Amino acid sequence: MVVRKLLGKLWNRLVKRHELTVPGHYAQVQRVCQFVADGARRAGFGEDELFRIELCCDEAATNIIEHAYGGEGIGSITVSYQDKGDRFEIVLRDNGRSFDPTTVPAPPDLTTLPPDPQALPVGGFGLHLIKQLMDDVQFTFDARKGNRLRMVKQKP
Amino acid sequence: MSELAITKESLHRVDLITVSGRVDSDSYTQLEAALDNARDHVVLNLASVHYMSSAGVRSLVSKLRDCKQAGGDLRLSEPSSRVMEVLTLAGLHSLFGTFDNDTTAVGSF
Repeated sequence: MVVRKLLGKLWNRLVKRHELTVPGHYAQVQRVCQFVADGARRAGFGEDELFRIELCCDEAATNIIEHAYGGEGIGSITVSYQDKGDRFEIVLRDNGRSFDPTTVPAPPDLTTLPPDPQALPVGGFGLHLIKQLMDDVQFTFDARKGNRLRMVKQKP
Repeated sequence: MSELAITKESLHRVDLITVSGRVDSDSYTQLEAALDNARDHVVLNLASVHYMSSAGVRSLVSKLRDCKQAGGDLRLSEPSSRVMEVLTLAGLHSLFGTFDNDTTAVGSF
Protein backbone atom coordinates (compact mmCIF):
# COMPACT_ATOMS: atom_id res chain seq x y z
CA MET A 1 0.00 0.00 0.00
CA VAL A 2 2.77 2.44 1.02
CA VAL A 3 4.88 1.44 -1.98
CA ARG A 4 1.92 1.91 -4.32
CA LYS A 5 1.31 5.40 -2.87
CA LEU A 6 4.96 6.34 -3.28
CA LEU A 7 5.01 5.06 -6.85
CA GLY A 8 1.82 7.00 -7.53
CA LYS A 9 3.36 10.22 -6.22
CA LEU A 10 6.51 9.63 -8.29
CA TRP A 11 4.44 8.99 -11.41
CA ASN A 12 2.38 12.14 -10.80
CA ARG A 13 5.57 14.15 -10.55
CA LEU A 14 6.92 12.61 -13.75
CA VAL A 15 3.78 13.45 -15.74
CA LYS A 16 3.33 16.79 -13.90
CA ARG A 17 0.00 15.75 -12.50
CA HIS A 18 -1.16 17.61 -9.40
CA GLU A 19 -3.44 15.74 -7.05
CA LEU A 20 -5.52 16.47 -3.97
CA THR A 21 -7.73 14.21 -1.86
CA VAL A 22 -10.40 15.67 0.40
CA PRO A 23 -13.16 14.18 2.55
CA GLY A 24 -16.55 14.12 0.84
CA HIS A 25 -18.06 17.13 2.58
CA TYR A 26 -19.71 20.13 0.93
CA ALA A 27 -17.40 22.37 2.94
CA GLN A 28 -14.47 20.82 1.01
CA VAL A 29 -15.87 21.53 -2.46
CA GLN A 30 -14.49 25.05 -2.56
CA ARG A 31 -11.04 23.65 -1.73
CA VAL A 32 -11.30 21.33 -4.74
CA CYS A 33 -12.32 24.28 -6.93
CA GLN A 34 -9.51 26.48 -5.64
CA PHE A 35 -6.92 23.77 -6.14
CA VAL A 36 -7.86 23.28 -9.78
CA ALA A 37 -8.37 27.00 -10.44
CA ASP A 38 -4.85 27.75 -9.18
CA GLY A 39 -3.46 25.22 -11.64
CA ALA A 40 -5.63 26.53 -14.46
CA ARG A 41 -4.44 30.09 -13.77
CA ARG A 42 -0.83 28.93 -14.06
CA ALA A 43 -1.81 27.18 -17.30
CA GLY A 44 -2.85 30.54 -18.76
CA PHE A 45 -6.63 30.70 -18.38
CA GLY A 46 -8.23 34.11 -17.83
CA GLU A 47 -10.73 35.05 -15.13
CA ASP A 48 -13.86 34.16 -17.14
CA GLU A 49 -12.56 30.69 -18.00
CA LEU A 50 -11.32 30.18 -14.45
CA PHE A 51 -14.84 30.83 -13.20
CA ARG A 52 -16.20 28.23 -15.63
CA ILE A 53 -13.56 25.64 -14.70
CA GLU A 54 -14.24 26.26 -11.02
CA LEU A 55 -17.97 25.89 -11.62
CA CYS A 56 -17.50 22.52 -13.36
CA CYS A 57 -15.31 21.19 -10.54
CA ASP A 58 -17.91 22.40 -8.03
CA GLU A 59 -20.74 20.64 -9.87
CA ALA A 60 -18.72 17.43 -10.30
CA ALA A 61 -17.62 17.27 -6.66
CA THR A 62 -21.12 18.11 -5.43
CA ASN A 63 -22.56 15.32 -7.57
CA ILE A 64 -20.09 12.85 -6.09
CA ILE A 65 -21.23 13.69 -2.56
CA GLU A 66 -24.91 13.84 -3.48
CA HIS A 67 -25.26 10.92 -5.91
CA ALA A 68 -22.22 8.63 -5.76
CA TYR A 69 -21.92 8.66 -1.97
CA GLY A 70 -25.51 9.62 -1.24
CA GLY A 71 -24.48 12.06 1.47
CA GLU A 72 -21.63 13.73 3.32
CA GLY A 73 -18.87 11.95 5.19
CA ILE A 74 -19.18 8.65 3.35
CA GLY A 75 -15.99 8.70 1.28
CA SER A 76 -13.29 10.86 -0.20
CA ILE A 77 -12.87 12.76 -3.45
CA THR A 78 -9.59 12.80 -5.33
CA VAL A 79 -9.08 15.53 -7.89
CA SER A 80 -6.12 15.90 -10.19
CA TYR A 81 -5.20 18.20 -13.02
CA GLN A 82 -2.61 18.16 -15.75
CA ASP A 83 -1.47 20.85 -18.15
CA LYS A 84 -1.16 18.94 -21.41
CA GLY A 85 0.08 21.76 -23.58
CA ASP A 86 -2.89 22.47 -25.78
CA ARG A 87 -5.43 21.38 -23.17
CA PHE A 88 -6.07 21.26 -19.44
CA GLU A 89 -7.28 17.95 -18.07
CA ILE A 90 -9.15 17.51 -14.79
CA VAL A 91 -9.99 14.12 -13.27
CA LEU A 92 -12.25 13.49 -10.28
CA ARG A 93 -12.34 10.09 -8.67
CA ASP A 94 -14.46 8.56 -5.94
CA ASN A 95 -15.42 5.18 -4.57
CA GLY A 96 -19.15 5.66 -4.41
CA ARG A 97 -21.97 4.11 -6.44
CA SER A 98 -21.48 4.07 -10.18
CA PHE A 99 -22.91 7.35 -11.38
CA ASP A 100 -22.47 8.34 -14.99
CA PRO A 101 -23.24 12.05 -15.27
CA THR A 102 -22.83 12.00 -19.03
CA THR A 103 -26.03 9.96 -19.38
CA VAL A 104 -28.22 12.40 -17.47
CA PRO A 105 -30.51 14.17 -19.95
CA ALA A 106 -30.46 17.95 -20.25
CA PRO A 107 -33.23 19.81 -18.47
CA PRO A 108 -36.25 20.56 -20.67
CA ASP A 109 -36.50 23.80 -22.64
CA LEU A 110 -37.35 26.43 -20.06
CA THR A 111 -37.48 29.58 -22.15
CA THR A 112 -41.04 30.10 -20.96
CA LEU A 113 -42.65 29.22 -17.67
CA PRO A 114 -44.65 26.00 -17.90
CA PRO A 115 -48.42 26.52 -17.33
CA ASP A 116 -48.09 24.58 -14.09
CA PRO A 117 -45.24 26.12 -12.07
CA GLN A 118 -44.82 22.83 -10.23
CA ALA A 119 -43.66 21.33 -13.53
CA LEU A 120 -40.47 23.40 -13.26
CA PRO A 121 -37.58 21.03 -12.62
CA VAL A 122 -35.40 22.01 -9.68
CA GLY A 123 -32.47 19.73 -10.42
CA GLY A 124 -30.18 18.42 -13.14
CA PHE A 125 -28.69 21.82 -13.94
CA GLY A 126 -25.18 21.04 -12.72
CA LEU A 127 -24.45 18.32 -15.24
CA HIS A 128 -25.93 20.44 -17.97
CA LEU A 129 -23.44 23.19 -17.05
CA ILE A 130 -20.48 20.80 -17.14
CA LYS A 131 -21.43 19.46 -20.57
CA GLN A 132 -21.76 22.96 -21.95
CA LEU A 133 -18.61 24.41 -20.45
CA MET A 134 -16.13 21.59 -21.00
CA ASP A 135 -14.77 20.56 -24.39
CA ASP A 136 -14.81 16.89 -23.50
CA VAL A 137 -16.42 14.95 -20.64
CA GLN A 138 -15.91 11.24 -20.10
CA PHE A 139 -16.99 8.92 -17.34
CA THR A 140 -15.64 5.47 -16.53
CA PHE A 141 -16.41 3.07 -13.73
CA ASP A 142 -14.07 0.36 -12.49
CA ALA A 143 -15.09 -2.08 -9.78
CA ARG A 144 -11.74 -1.61 -8.03
CA LYS A 145 -10.84 1.98 -8.87
CA GLY A 146 -14.34 3.43 -8.63
CA ASN A 147 -15.82 6.34 -10.59
CA ARG A 148 -13.60 8.48 -12.78
CA LEU A 149 -14.82 11.69 -14.39
CA ARG A 150 -12.45 13.27 -16.90
CA MET A 151 -13.11 16.84 -18.03
CA VAL A 152 -11.01 18.56 -20.68
CA LYS A 153 -10.79 22.26 -21.44
CA GLN A 154 -8.88 23.48 -24.47
CA LYS A 155 -6.32 26.12 -23.56
CA PRO A 156 -6.70 29.67 -24.85
CA MET B 1 -17.77 27.55 5.19
CA SER B 2 -18.32 29.57 2.02
CA GLU B 3 -18.68 33.27 2.69
CA LEU B 4 -22.24 34.47 2.18
CA ALA B 5 -24.15 37.42 3.63
CA ILE B 6 -27.92 37.81 3.38
CA THR B 7 -30.10 40.71 4.52
CA LYS B 8 -33.88 40.94 4.31
CA GLU B 9 -36.07 44.01 4.32
CA SER B 10 -39.84 43.61 4.52
CA LEU B 11 -41.47 46.37 2.48
CA HIS B 12 -45.22 46.97 2.15
CA ARG B 13 -45.92 44.28 -0.41
CA VAL B 14 -42.52 42.87 -1.21
CA ASP B 15 -39.63 41.24 0.61
CA LEU B 16 -36.30 42.61 -0.57
CA ILE B 17 -33.47 40.16 -0.02
CA THR B 18 -29.89 41.19 -0.70
CA VAL B 19 -27.27 38.50 -1.11
CA SER B 20 -23.52 38.90 -1.37
CA GLY B 21 -20.68 36.42 -1.63
CA ARG B 22 -20.50 32.87 -2.84
CA VAL B 23 -23.57 30.67 -3.28
CA ASP B 24 -22.51 27.03 -3.63
CA SER B 25 -23.40 23.57 -2.35
CA ASP B 26 -22.02 24.51 1.04
CA SER B 27 -23.79 27.84 1.51
CA TYR B 28 -27.00 27.57 -0.52
CA THR B 29 -28.94 26.40 2.54
CA GLN B 30 -28.66 29.94 3.95
CA LEU B 31 -30.17 31.36 0.77
CA GLU B 32 -32.83 28.65 0.77
CA ALA B 33 -33.76 29.45 4.39
CA ALA B 34 -34.03 33.17 3.60
CA LEU B 35 -36.24 32.46 0.59
CA ASP B 36 -38.38 29.97 2.52
CA ASN B 37 -39.05 32.64 5.13
CA ALA B 38 -39.94 35.28 2.56
CA ARG B 39 -43.42 36.11 1.29
CA ASP B 40 -44.61 35.37 -2.25
CA HIS B 41 -43.54 38.71 -3.72
CA VAL B 42 -39.77 38.75 -3.60
CA VAL B 43 -37.02 40.90 -5.04
CA LEU B 44 -33.61 39.32 -4.82
CA ASN B 45 -30.64 41.62 -5.22
CA LEU B 46 -27.71 39.61 -6.56
CA ALA B 47 -25.34 42.43 -7.50
CA SER B 48 -22.62 41.21 -5.14
CA VAL B 49 -22.89 37.50 -5.77
CA HIS B 50 -19.54 36.74 -7.38
CA TYR B 51 -20.17 33.01 -7.66
CA MET B 52 -23.25 30.84 -7.98
CA SER B 53 -23.39 27.12 -8.68
CA SER B 54 -26.41 25.03 -9.61
CA ALA B 55 -27.16 24.64 -5.90
CA GLY B 56 -28.04 28.33 -5.84
CA VAL B 57 -29.94 28.03 -9.11
CA ARG B 58 -32.00 25.25 -7.56
CA SER B 59 -32.94 27.51 -4.64
CA LEU B 60 -34.05 30.27 -7.02
CA VAL B 61 -36.14 27.93 -9.16
CA SER B 62 -37.72 26.34 -6.11
CA LYS B 63 -38.78 29.72 -4.71
CA LEU B 64 -39.93 30.94 -8.13
CA ARG B 65 -42.10 27.86 -8.37
CA ASP B 66 -43.66 28.48 -4.95
CA CYS B 67 -44.19 32.18 -5.65
CA LYS B 68 -45.87 31.51 -9.00
CA GLN B 69 -48.04 28.85 -7.43
CA ALA B 70 -49.23 31.39 -4.88
CA GLY B 71 -49.81 34.08 -7.49
CA GLY B 72 -46.61 35.97 -6.70
CA ASP B 73 -43.19 36.20 -8.28
CA LEU B 74 -39.47 36.18 -7.61
CA ARG B 75 -37.69 38.97 -9.47
CA LEU B 76 -34.00 39.68 -9.70
CA SER B 77 -32.37 43.04 -9.13
CA GLU B 78 -28.91 43.80 -10.56
CA PRO B 79 -27.91 40.16 -11.05
CA SER B 80 -24.13 40.00 -11.44
CA SER B 81 -22.63 38.84 -14.72
CA ARG B 82 -21.65 35.52 -13.09
CA VAL B 83 -25.23 34.90 -11.94
CA MET B 84 -26.59 35.77 -15.38
CA GLU B 85 -24.07 33.49 -17.06
CA VAL B 86 -25.07 30.52 -14.90
CA LEU B 87 -28.79 31.18 -15.37
CA THR B 88 -28.27 31.49 -19.13
CA LEU B 89 -26.23 28.28 -19.30
CA ALA B 90 -28.94 26.50 -17.33
CA GLY B 91 -31.50 27.87 -19.82
CA LEU B 92 -33.40 29.67 -17.06
CA HIS B 93 -32.62 33.35 -17.62
CA SER B 94 -35.90 34.12 -19.35
CA LEU B 95 -37.94 32.72 -16.45
CA PHE B 96 -36.86 35.50 -14.11
CA GLY B 97 -37.81 39.13 -14.41
CA THR B 98 -34.57 41.10 -14.08
CA PHE B 99 -34.23 44.78 -13.19
CA ASP B 100 -31.42 47.33 -13.10
CA ASN B 101 -32.03 48.38 -9.50
CA ASP B 102 -34.10 47.64 -6.41
CA THR B 103 -36.44 50.58 -6.95
CA THR B 104 -37.65 49.43 -10.36
CA ALA B 105 -37.74 45.79 -9.23
CA VAL B 106 -39.87 46.57 -6.18
CA GLY B 107 -41.99 48.99 -8.21
CA SER B 108 -42.70 46.31 -10.80
CA PHE B 109 -45.01 44.48 -8.38
